[in-house]
Amino acid sequence: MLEGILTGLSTAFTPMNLLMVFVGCFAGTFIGMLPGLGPISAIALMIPITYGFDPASGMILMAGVYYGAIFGGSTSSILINAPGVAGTVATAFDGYPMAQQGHAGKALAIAAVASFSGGTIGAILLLVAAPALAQVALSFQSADYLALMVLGLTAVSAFTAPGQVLKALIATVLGLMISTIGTDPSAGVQRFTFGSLDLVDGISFLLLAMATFALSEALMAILKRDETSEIAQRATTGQLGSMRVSRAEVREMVPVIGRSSILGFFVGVLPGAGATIASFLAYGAERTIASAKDKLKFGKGSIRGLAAPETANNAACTGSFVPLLTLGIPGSGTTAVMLGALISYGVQPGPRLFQNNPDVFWAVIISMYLGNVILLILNLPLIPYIARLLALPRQILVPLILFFSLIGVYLVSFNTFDIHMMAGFALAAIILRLLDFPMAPLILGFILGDMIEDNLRRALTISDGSIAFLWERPLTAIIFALTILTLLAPLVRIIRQRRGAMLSGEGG
Amino acid sequence: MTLNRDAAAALGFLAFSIAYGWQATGIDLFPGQEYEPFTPQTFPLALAVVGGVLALLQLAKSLRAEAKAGDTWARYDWTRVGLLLVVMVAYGATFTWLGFTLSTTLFLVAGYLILGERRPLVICAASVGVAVGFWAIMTRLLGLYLAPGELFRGWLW
Repeated sequence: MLEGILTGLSTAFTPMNLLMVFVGCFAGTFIGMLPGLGPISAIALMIPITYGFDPASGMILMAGVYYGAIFGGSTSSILINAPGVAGTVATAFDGYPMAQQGHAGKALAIAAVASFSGGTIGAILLLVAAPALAQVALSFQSADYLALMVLGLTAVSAFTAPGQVLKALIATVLGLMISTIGTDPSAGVQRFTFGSLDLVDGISFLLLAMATFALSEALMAILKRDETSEIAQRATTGQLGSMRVSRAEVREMVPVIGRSSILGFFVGVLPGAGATIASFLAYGAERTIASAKDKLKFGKGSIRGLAAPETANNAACTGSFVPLLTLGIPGSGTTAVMLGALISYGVQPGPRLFQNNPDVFWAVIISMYLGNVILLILNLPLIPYIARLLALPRQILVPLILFFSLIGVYLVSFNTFDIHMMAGFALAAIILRLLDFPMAPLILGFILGDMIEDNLRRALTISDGSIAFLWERPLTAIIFALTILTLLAPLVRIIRQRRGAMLSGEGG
Repeated sequence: MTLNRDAAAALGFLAFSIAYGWQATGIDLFPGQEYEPFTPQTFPLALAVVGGVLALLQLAKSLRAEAKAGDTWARYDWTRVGLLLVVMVAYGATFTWLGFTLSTTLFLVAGYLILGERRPLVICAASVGVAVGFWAIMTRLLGLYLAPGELFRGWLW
């Protein structure tokens, strides 16, 4: 392991890669700050730029963008109560009141320190957990992989949209269906191409990610007549106040950070859970264990209420890399985009990544740590200036986002048909979003589609067409049982709610 | 009975799944492949079945739910979004023909105008500047090829 860490250090500490971390954090902070654009869009926008890079540099840049975007999301949550990212919604609960009391600078500093600590503790846990899991994962067979991916898909569907599990599952299946367009990988026959040459290679993951996230998010802001940039203009031209955090406040934060980072990391490791759930859980947990006096402060600018979700969302971001790096299975929409990026570099994440590309594996882990340091020491002082960019008028910003998204995809394929397809997918995504269909499961289904089909084919061929592989090995059976439990969990909740409603109805 | 939006979406997806499944049965197979446990048709057919079942469940669920009042799509700014989508399609269509710089400039100008920017100087700077700057970085610095424009072939070079 020490050898690996040294490899990672030597890869990450080249001047080029250090620059990547810096550029990534900076660009991520900026994009994450823009209301509506989250880490998925930020990373997707970076993919065309990193195509020519070696995989380690590309991943380092993206890890920086990821952290930056989450941090940028916190900034807009605190300053204008408009979270750019779902993972920072809980940050606004106490961050925004603090900013309104004139302590915006302090709130930003607390958020930065909490993010830094959460990310750092997460990176240390990742350092231990990832190689260990990679060892175990080497014994996995096709059936187990299939089971794990199905579990990942159902978990994302069950967790991303509470109350809308069916819609999320439909979005997943739609993603899987889109993934079957193009040439079949095993037999080489064309599927769903309708004779069009443009579809023979299938739909590129980048195209779908850009259209369903960057494009549709930018267009949704126009559609809903989002006026946040005007609010931002007012907020960011005002004073931020001092960024100094007192010793007593630090003492108050330390135990919160300890608890929330561990909680956040493990929530992040679970497939499908991710930063959003981690931040809400951590906020809820802190409020539950707070004393009656402290409890009253929550929602009115409590330091604990700000530090907990900020720590947890960063720790969860790090945690979500565990299944990606060790199993090749993305646990969230963001890591799904990263998986697509890795595959486009010719790197296959999974237990063998650890052996075949130790430089990528370790460099990513080390650069996460570096990213945290850079966010703290370089980004924090720059925040007042980056925040000014928030005030860039929307009528200028949106066409530019559209342009960069379109040209980013075009520059990979050099096929103008892709631009037309993007417009089509963007429109479809807008309609699906308005109907409350979540987009993250769709993209996850699309990315996992090929792998699921491949593993299903192998498992079925090995068992000669029998579906006994589903329960023959205890490991496979356990994972499938978990999948079923994940699906049943929301159902049980609904039944319990109904029964509760009926009982109270009878009582009343 | 008026159909609520969720039910309509579920019906739409049901139709899509059926069409998808029907198309899947037409995927070419090699002779004898139909006796194998897994063919290029297997996965799409399985997806069509799962999709159909989910759509029916969603349909049943949404028919039982009461329609949400007050949520009308008419209040959204469809005109601007529609215009932006049209401009995007036009951008793709004119790209090879007009070349990167000119089509990008036009695309950005149209985008700014649609969203209500009226200051001529801002529009010019933010469109020509971005297009030429991006072109310079891509072609001069990174050595990428960007369509110069078929229209000007034989005229400018």
